[in-house]
Parts: sequence; structure tokens; C-alpha cells
Amino acid sequence: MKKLTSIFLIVATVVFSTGSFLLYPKIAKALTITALYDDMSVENTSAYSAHVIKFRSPSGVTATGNTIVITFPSDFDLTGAVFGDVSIKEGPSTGIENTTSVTTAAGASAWGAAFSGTQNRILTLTAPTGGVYYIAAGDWATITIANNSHTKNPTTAGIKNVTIATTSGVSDSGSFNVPIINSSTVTLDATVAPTLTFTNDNTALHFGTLSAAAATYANATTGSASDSANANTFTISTNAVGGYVLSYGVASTLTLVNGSATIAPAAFTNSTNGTPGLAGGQFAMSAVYSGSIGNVATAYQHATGNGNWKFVTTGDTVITSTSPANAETVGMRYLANISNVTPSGAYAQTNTWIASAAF
Amino acid sequence: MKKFTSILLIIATVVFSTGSFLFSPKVATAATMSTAVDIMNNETINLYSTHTIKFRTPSAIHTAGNTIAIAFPSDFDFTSIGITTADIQMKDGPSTGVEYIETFLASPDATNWGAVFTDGACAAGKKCTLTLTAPTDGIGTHDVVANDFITITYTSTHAKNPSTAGSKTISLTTTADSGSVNVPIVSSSTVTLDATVAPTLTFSNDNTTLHFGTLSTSAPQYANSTVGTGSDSVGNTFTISTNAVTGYTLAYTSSAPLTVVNGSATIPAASFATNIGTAGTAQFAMSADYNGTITNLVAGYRHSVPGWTFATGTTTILTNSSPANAETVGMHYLANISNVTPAGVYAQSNTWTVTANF
Repeated sequence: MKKLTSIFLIVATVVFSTGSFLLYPKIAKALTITALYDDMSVENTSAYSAHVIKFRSPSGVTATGNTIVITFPSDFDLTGAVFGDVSIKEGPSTGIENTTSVTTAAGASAWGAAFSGTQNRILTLTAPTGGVYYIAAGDWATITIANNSHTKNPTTAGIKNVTIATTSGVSDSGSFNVPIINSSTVTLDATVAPTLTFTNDNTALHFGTLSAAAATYANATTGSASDSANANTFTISTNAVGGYVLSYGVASTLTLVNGSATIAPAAFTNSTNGTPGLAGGQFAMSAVYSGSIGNVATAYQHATGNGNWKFVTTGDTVITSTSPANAETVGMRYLANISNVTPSGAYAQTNTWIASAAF
Repeated sequence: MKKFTSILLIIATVVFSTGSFLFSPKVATAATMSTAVDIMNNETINLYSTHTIKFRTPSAIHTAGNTIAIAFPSDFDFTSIGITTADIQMKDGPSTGVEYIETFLASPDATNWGAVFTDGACAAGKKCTLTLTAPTDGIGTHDVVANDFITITYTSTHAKNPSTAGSKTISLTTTADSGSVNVPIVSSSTVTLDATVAPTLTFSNDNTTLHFGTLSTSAPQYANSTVGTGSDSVGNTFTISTNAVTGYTLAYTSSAPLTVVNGSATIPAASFATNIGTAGTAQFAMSADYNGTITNLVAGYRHSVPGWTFATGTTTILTNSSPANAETVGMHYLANISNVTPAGVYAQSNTWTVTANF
């Protein structure tokens, strides 16, 4: 008996020392899917939205025939969704390290993707048959359903619960909420006041003594024989979307003070000095512009050739800018020629300049 | 952590279930007028200027009671402005905004817009705000529908600019929409230019010494720069230019006609209307070719007529009342002698003067 007892003890000792599995067999247990979320592109009611569903599978999807099933709640409408709308990526860290192909039914190296149920609300993904591209236990999976006008949000606002389940050796499951709201957009309004500023750095210009032999140019002092500097400069800024117009009004040409003799308004192109000595004389102006040359009326483009010059007594538009302007400058040049018979005396002329914006 | 998540979900549920107003408040938004512009004809402080205010209305203005208000900011001054066309006008239309002309009354009726000036943001009496009220039929001359253009003009008569420079905002408000335009009021929008044309007078003579040569009793002799000639020709030419507004005068001064040197015998001054005078009669005279208006020449000296004259003292032969550019006066000199004209050497001197009238 003692010997029998010893044998039993030995056996018991061996049994207990060799491992507990004989007495506590390991039982497959379903786990909860963690770190689960759905990144939607639009959460408005009745709008179409992409879904990027990412989760960590405790047990993985590790064998042929294993599935991942995503079930959208009532009122989602995935009518028309097909396998081509779905993509699967997985990996141990970011969940997007590896990309697998997706077909209608699982293939050797492709996951199968099938929509079913009312309005296609159930997406079943089936692991490849070739023993590859599984999702290892603890890895991340990223399932994207593209917004191809097949993934319509519910018509009612509220928290919507989407479930997900995997079948492997064990079945894991989880769910996540997405907020569906009447409008996920926020509108803001603000007012930018219209602005138009217009300055002129010189209001009194002088030609000095004119010559029948050469052109004379006005400046702030006593005139110049050289077309080398702007006589005055306008600076214009506006936030008007239609830009602005710079013009001068009806005005007499250079006219003899206390007399009627005039120096004739003139227009000529590609010339620095017009025609000195010309009968009747010449009075004209030209614009040096900081913006696009096309905004300057052709007849006033100083930058064209040797310069285009013009003056008319009826008034004229010199600059037409069709977009907002930030401190654009218009440098004005004034030219006068006289003939041998241009009556002597003091001449004067005044232009009224107008800047107007189209808001 | 689980408890926190639950609380968050509850809050989220409450928030989203309470209504959409939190995310999409329904705001009645007035549209903004587009292409609004005010074109003035003078942007200088304290001066009177026209205004041409034009805008495109996003909404129709065709219901009785609809209004258009134009509010100038403080410092504009429309004190004496009235609702007559002498001061304001309203035009509208789908393309240019000036296709149709509306008419005003103080209060709207079936065909006229109502027009009222109030002080608005300005000091009392400045009438800075104009409110136009649609006719009772809503239409008037033209049915202003959405996107039509409206043009409202002010004459300058009673529209005075602010006394301070700066960017001024004019607000435009209709029953449904709003907008604004900006105008730059500047210390001076004018640029004055002055110039001087100096007085000029040039006078030249191509020949100062002329010779008749030997005179003849049978035919006239004409002076030239060599030995005289029997042909009627120019002895010397004056060239005159001046920019004097009232032109110039050409005159000569002489104390005597051709006179014998060291003696007193003369070939008398004469006046005749042929180019040869009278052969055999002692005569001294001169005549002028002129490239200007013939009537500027004194009649007795018009060679083209012809006319020949000589006189002692100071005599004007040409008067031009306007500026002259290189006008030329070609002088002819003629002498005839008689059989009894004393032999000898004769001489004569004229002093020519040009005077400009600046």
C-alpha cells in the first residue's frame, strides 16, 4: 500500500510538474477590437462620405476563410457600393504598411469584398486563399470605403453605431460611433471695407521757357530739356475687385494767360520729343506705369518705343486696371513744342485728375 | 477611462440631438451689390463735384415700398439739393444701366419713385442720404429685376465734397441688399502747368550795298549788288520772324532821295504804278515783293500790283498784325533820269527798322 501510495505521488508529481494544460486546457476566447475609429470625410446628413476605418485586431485574421464584417446601422445607404470602392491596408505599426488587392471573392493573394444587406450596409471582407496577406494578431488594419457616391450618410442626425467583427480562430468584435449632423460646416462672414486712395506728389509743374528748336519737359522747378524724369506721380491703391480708372477731365490746352493763343494738343507715337518747331506747337503727356503696360491707354504708354504721347481737351482715360491695386504708381510726363511764331507770353494749363474704383 | 468615454458619448449625443442650429444657424444674408462705382468729376476737398453712382442689384427692386438708399458719410454737403433733374437722376436697365429714366416725386405714386433727402450721418441740413422708394406699381418706367444696373447721378450744383481729404465710403442699401463704394477725396486733384514763350524778333538783310550803275534817260535802271541792271529785279531781301502776337512793322527812314555826292542835285522821289516809271523823267522809287498777305504792304509799295514809292522821313511799308515766320520782303529800286539830270555820282541811304508788338 505504501508502495502504491508512493507511485501515486510520483505520478501526481510528474503530472503537476509537466504542465497545467492537462488540468486547465487553453480555451479560445473572443476579444474586443480596440483603437477603433472611422474617419469620415463628411458627416452631414444625406451627404456622401468616404470612410477610413482603422482598428487593431487582438486575434488577427490569420487564415483562409477568416472574415472581417463591418455593419453600418439603419439609414446608411451604400447602394451601388462595389469591391472597387474598398481598399485594405495593414501592418504592425501604422496599419498602412502593406496594401493588398481586393476583388469580389477572395483569391490567392486578394481579399474578397462583398456588400450585402439592406442598402448594402454590410461589408464582408474575406481573407485570401493563398495563405498570404493576413492580418496578424495585434496588427492594425485600415479599411477604406471611397466616396464614389455610393456611401450616403443617414438622413437623420445623431450618433450612429457601426459594428465590426472578425472571425479567426476566435472571433473579435467591436463598434464605433460616428456623429451624423445636419451640417458639419461652419459659415463665417466678415466685411472688408472698400478702399480707394489716390495721391499726387506734385500739383504745380513748370515748363520754363519753351523752345522752337527742341522739346521742353515740365518738372517741379523750371522745366527740362530732357525726358528723363516724371513731373508728378500719382499713387493709387484700391481693394475694388473691378480695379480702378484714372482719367483727366475736360481741360484747355496750354493757353496764353490773358490771351487766346494756345499750344496745340498733340498725339504722337514712338517719339521722345515730338516735332520741335511744328506750326501750332505741341502739348502732350505720357505715363510711366508701375503695373502691366496693357493697363495704360496705348496713346499714353511712355514705355512703348520711344514713348507715346497724347493730350485731348475732351478729357481721357489714361489707366484702366481691372484688379485690385496696391500702391500702383503713374508717373506723368509733359512735353511742349513751339514754333517760331508761337505767340510769346506766359502759358498755363490745368488738368483735373479723377480716380474711380469699381467695387 | 471607460467612464470618461461614456460621459463624452452622452455629451456628444445630447449636443447632436439638440438640433442643427449649433452648426448651421440659419442666417438671412443680404447679398452684396457688385460693380458699384461712383465716378466724380472733381475729388478735391471743398469743391463741388458730380457723382455718377452705378451698381448692379443682386435682387429685384420692383415691389411697392422697396427702397434704394445712398448714404454719403459725414462731411459731404448737399444742403440745397432737390429732387429735380437739375440735381439728381435715376436710370436703370439690364445692360448699361442708363437705358431707362425714372422720374421722381416727393412720395411715390403709380409711376414715379419717391425721393427724399435726409441728413443721415451728416450735420443737420446737409442732406447726405437719399432714399428712393419704388413706385406703388413697383415698376415705374422700367421693372428693375435682379442683376439690373442702376445709375443715380448728382449734378455738381449742390454736391459739395468734404472739407477733409481721405478715403470716403458711400453706402448703398436696397431693401434686400447692400454695398458700398469708396471715393478718394484729395487736397487737390488738379495739376497745373505753366510755360513761358519768350518774345522773339529776328530781322536780317542779305545786302547792304546796292548799285544802280550808270543811269539812263531812255530806260529805267534797277539797283542790285553789282553794277545795276536794266531788268526789274530784287536789290536786297529782308527776312523777318517774330512771335509777337500783334506782329511787326517794317519801316525806313531817309533824309533824301538819290543825291549827287558833294552837291545838291537830286533824282526826285517818285510814286507811280508801273514797273518802269517814266523814262526820261528823273525818278527814284522803290517797291516790295512780299511772301505774306499782300495787303500787309502799304499800297504804294506793292510790286505785284505794281506800286512804287519813295518818301523822305520815316515811312512804313509793311504792317503785319500777327506772328511771322521767316517772312521775306524783296526790295526793288528804280531810277530814271532826264536829259538834264546833272552828271555826277549819286548816293542815297535808307535806315530800315522792324518793330514787333508784343
